Amino acid sequence: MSWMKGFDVQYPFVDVSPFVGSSLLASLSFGFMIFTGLAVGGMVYALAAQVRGRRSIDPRWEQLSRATSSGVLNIMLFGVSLFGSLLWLAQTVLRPKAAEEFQKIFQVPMRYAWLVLLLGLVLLFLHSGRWNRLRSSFPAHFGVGSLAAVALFAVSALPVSIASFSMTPGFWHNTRSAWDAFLNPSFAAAYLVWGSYSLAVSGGAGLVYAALQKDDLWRSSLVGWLGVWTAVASIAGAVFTSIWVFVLFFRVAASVVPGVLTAALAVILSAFLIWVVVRRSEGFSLVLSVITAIALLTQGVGIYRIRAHLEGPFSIQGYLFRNGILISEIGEFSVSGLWRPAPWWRNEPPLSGVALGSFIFRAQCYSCHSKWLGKGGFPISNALRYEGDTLSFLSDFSSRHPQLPVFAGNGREKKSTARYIEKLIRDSGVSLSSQPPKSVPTVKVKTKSTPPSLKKNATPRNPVSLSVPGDSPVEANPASAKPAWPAGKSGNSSKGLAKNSRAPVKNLLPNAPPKEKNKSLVSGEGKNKKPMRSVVKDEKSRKSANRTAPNLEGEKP
Amino acid sequence: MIAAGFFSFEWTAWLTVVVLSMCVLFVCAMVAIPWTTAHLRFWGRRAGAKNELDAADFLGRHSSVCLAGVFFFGLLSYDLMVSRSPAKWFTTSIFWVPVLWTFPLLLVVWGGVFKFFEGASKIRRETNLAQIWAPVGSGVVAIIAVAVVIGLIVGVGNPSLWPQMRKSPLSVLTTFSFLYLMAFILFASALTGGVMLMLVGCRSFLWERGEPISMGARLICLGASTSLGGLVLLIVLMVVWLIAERLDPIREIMHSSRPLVLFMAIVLLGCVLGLLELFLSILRWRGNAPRASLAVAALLFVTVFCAISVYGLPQIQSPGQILLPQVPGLPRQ
Repeated sequence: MSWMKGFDVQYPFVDVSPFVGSSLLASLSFGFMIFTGLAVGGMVYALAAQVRGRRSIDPRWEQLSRATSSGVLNIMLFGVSLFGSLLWLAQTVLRPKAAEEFQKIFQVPMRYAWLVLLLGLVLLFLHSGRWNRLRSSFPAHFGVGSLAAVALFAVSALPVSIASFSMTPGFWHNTRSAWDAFLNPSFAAAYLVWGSYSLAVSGGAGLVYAALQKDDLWRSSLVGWLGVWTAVASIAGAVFTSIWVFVLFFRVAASVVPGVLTAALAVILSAFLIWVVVRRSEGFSLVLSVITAIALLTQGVGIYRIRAHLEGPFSIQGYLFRNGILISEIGEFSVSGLWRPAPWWRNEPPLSGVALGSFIFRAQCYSCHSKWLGKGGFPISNALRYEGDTLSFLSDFSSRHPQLPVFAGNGREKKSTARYIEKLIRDSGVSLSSQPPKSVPTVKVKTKSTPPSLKKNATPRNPVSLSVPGDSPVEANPASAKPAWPAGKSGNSSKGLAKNSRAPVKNLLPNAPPKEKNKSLVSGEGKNKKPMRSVVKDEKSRKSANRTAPNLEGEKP
Repeated sequence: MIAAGFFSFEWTAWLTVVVLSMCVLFVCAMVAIPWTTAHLRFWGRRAGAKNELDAADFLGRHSSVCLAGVFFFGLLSYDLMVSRSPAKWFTTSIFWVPVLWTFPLLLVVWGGVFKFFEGASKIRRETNLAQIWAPVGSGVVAIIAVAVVIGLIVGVGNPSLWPQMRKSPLSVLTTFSFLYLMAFILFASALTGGVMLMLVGCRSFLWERGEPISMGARLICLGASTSLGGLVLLIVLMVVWLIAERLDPIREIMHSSRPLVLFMAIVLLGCVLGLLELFLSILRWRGNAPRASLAVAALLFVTVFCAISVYGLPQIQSPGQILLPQVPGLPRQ
């Protein structure tokens, strides 16, 4: 297995555009949510109908309970299994690193979940398949069904927890405990939302079934009964959604709009159900049941949107980026580089130049900027008008690209990526002009050796050029250039990351490469921490710089 | 401490072996059920044997249990294997995904065909041709599904295939390992199908069922002969593999530092001999067939468990090591 260690990009790329990929993931997640909701909520209705059948002289209640139990089994076998396994596969293929991390983090809860699922399936088979044998003993039969329902509810906590964990890892950042990950800050609220939604959506499916019944009396009775359950579940859903949004509001305020809309839809639906279904159940028609089902599906989309809205550039907030790069790995990548040989391109030569840039772009940028690869897909930007602007942009990632505040890769890879992006710009029909000759700064001859520093209003994002007429701009010594690595706790990158994701910035710092750290210290952003040796070196370089290059205008001597 | 032991590495290795054994048995049953059903229906109609048609219906009704088993133990096996070596499994999954995504779909088609025709099983079952052709189609689907899984296993076990898989995923299908494993699973399916038939036949011996015992005995004999054929073919295949490997696997087991593995190998050999003896005795002496059928079912599970342990456990010494690729037919690491 040693050959597996040290993959920088561990997994091969899949040639699917992220739009198609995310649409696939979204549709599979949605299908999985609906089918799981139907199964879990359906089991509750099966039990409720069983109790009602015992009290009523109408045998149809028991038949309904039996049909529902059998339907739940079929939904589990053909719906939940299919969508669950396809979703897992899609996640594995499209976001393998995230899948690996989730698997690692949730290993222990997952084992329990498998055990409970096995128990739930066995009980469900008993409840549904042994109906005639067990019906003679109602408490035993009902007990088996209740345990199956509890097991299904318990198992469904795992996917809900994984989804909420990716948004709010909470204490897990500090403890790295599986149970802290499982019981993350937004889990309880999300689980309550999901639980109430599963009851509502299966109630909605029941209403469609009820509307298809021919016997008026039976239909009316069924509609009234299901309407109450669905209305109550919808009201609960509205309340729990509000709580969920309140919990998430402190992480990302953007969740408020889809959250409020979803809660409002749930309130409207419950009012509609009480007014039309419960009070006038005899007039309930197929059209109304379809409207109810559509409203419930829209509510499901809203719930999904709340979650998807928060994802941002992260697969796990503050831990793993969407491109599969761990925040903790970036320091290592900055030194060693992102590209390494992999077992599936054993005999191919190492990449260089634009090919290397293409690889780095695919590994790092493609998950968000896939459209750039299409014809004319590159956005026209004033920031990238001249040759070399791209490199300075990449060098100054922390302030100019706060969504992903650090470039993972070494200097060579950064240059290759810049070349590749420039190629993309040219391919999209935009010509990059060479750097305009910068105005020659007025030189003030210094009498004392003082450190060179930038003019206050000088743009910080371009490397400082000591322009000599007729020469190409020369990058200044590291003392004056801003480092690619986030400089420190008070640096721009930290602010950018914290502002966007509330990610624990400290994760970034310990892995910063030593060279870059020194750079940041030398550049004056951590003056108080400057080590003596670097101060002496710095002094020497300043003296030599003063001998060879003029100082910049406006500098305080 | 108990929890730590529960999730310890050694414990997880045993859990993986149990789950894999169940997975192999359910997958073999998935292949065997449709062909057995089609066979029983075809010959049951010709001979006018109502009991064979009933047995076929019984197998068809319980296909959902098999489907649930394949899904559950298949996904759990994948989970356990992936947690050992995510890089290998995920990489192979990515290369194999143009084919792999069909696996859950094929399973649903397999179960759906049974479910669809199950409702019509008691209506016109003597004349309805779909009652025979639907299981045959389902059987073909099952074989394709098995091929998909074996392709994944071969890819995981042989990373030297990855550059080829990267260019064309279907290149796996032409490898010797794939063909060998495919033959292995098909013969194992014959063995499992026969045992299932014997268990169905056992039901006739229950006095409360009121079915003729002779029909049950006939099913048991039919199952025993199928199983015997499958077992003999498996033994031949295994011997060919051992010779091709110059008996290295046996030497590895003998020299492994784990006495448990040696013990498992001896139990495996004993189980195979026991199965042979039971099948032969059922066919020749027709002794206490129902009890012998139950013993065969138990022995089959122990055999599969021991086989997976013997090939898997010597390799399981650290979390990064994987279990499956040591199965016969794959290059030894």
